[in-house]
Amino acid sequence: MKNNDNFIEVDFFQKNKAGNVVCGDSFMSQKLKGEGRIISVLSDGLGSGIKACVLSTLTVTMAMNFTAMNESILQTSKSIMNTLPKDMVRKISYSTFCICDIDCFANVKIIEYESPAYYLFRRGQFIDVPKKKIPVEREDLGNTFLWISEFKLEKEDRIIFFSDGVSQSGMGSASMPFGWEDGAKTYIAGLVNQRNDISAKELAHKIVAQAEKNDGYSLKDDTSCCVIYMRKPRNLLVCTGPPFDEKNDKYLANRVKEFRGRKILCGGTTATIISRELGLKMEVDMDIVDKELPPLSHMEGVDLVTEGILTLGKVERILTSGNTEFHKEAGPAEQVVRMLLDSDKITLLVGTRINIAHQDPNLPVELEIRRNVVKKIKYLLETKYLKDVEIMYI
Amino acid sequence: MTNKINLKICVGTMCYVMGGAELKDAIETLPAELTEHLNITYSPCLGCCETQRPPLIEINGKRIAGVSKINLIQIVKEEIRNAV
Ligand code: FES
Repeated sequence: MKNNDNFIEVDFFQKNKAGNVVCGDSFMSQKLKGEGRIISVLSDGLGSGIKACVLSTLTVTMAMNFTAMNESILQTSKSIMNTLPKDMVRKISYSTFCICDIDCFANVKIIEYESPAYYLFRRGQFIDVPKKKIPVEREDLGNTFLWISEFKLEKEDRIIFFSDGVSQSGMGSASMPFGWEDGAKTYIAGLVNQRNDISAKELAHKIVAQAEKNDGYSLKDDTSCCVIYMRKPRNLLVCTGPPFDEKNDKYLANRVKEFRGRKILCGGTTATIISRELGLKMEVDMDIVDKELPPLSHMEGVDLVTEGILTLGKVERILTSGNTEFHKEAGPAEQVVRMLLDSDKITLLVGTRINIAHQDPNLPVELEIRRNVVKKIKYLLETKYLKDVEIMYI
Repeated sequence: MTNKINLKICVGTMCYVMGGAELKDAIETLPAELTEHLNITYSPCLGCCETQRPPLIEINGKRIAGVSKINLIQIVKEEIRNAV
């Protein structure tokens, strides 16, 4: 979200009920670029395993699409309930949902159906937002309600919602006979007060991990948590490729120098230009961590210096695969991915000079055209990882 | 011999994929009496891969193109012999 320099980070983490291969909770988040809206939906299907997964997947998909089309919530929930297949035994079709819809002015609308109440954490404490209660008419089940709350998101606010795997974790144990419940609030407040810039991603991970701990490291239910965090954006500049016209070398170097945020240079020639123009010493690392890629270099004032096209190609493959949890000893591409994912606003500054040698058909590997790889990376970061990305060609 | 021989191996994209990745391994097979005379560093693209055949190295300031594992060892041995 671009208004008043705020960024909304949405992240999510889940773990399956112990022994299950699929998760009965589903989550989906989408940024509607034109409108500047962010919609996130979490659903918990009845039961667990495949059946629950089908129910919750149907629910989030429908809720997402109907909400994006501004369909009324009553109509949306009715359609969902009429569509869900009925459980053979219990004769009901059932899944919970929580829809969080944030517009470009940071107005939030949250609609909950049978899900644990969301938390709003603001300036060190939890806020209770008044909710409108709307009864839902259905034949198979009485007494169910939609809860609608609306408020304006403020900087540093966090919205946290989760499946009952979180709130009921630990149930029956001596220390929490009724489950984690408000203990979760204490835990979250503790984490945030300790480190008030904790990212949505990390917080969601920590909450799920703690729920697992409550359950004695064997989860009794599918456990999912989504965190939405509005904050100052973390900026990242990725500069790759020499400028088309050498006259712009100086300009490129100054862009890098003046950028406020973290900086990556992808490309030996690019790095050589920056080093020459700014008089910064560059040294190539003698350690090759990833055999597929040339080693990193080091330059003062720049956070990461890598080779260009091979590394970007691998970055693209990692982003496509979605396997982004790495170990400490990560190679250059993994380090780039880590920095990309730890940022909100990413500027890709792309030099368009082409190295003719790269087009030689006799090369043992195919070297892609920089522009194309960069475009793919932008697409992935925007759609799959909800980042703000802009490309500038030079 | 007092001065070490400076050996720069290009690890720019072209040189790396054309075999530069393995050049350091080749050197590591040499006996220590030889390698102790060398000061090995990596370099980003030396800027000649568009006109010369990669991989390239630079040994005491001289650029050599189309280096393979085998001829690198000869080049290094020769350079050491000349220097002593
Ligand atoms: S990559 Fe070695 S000279 Fe260009």
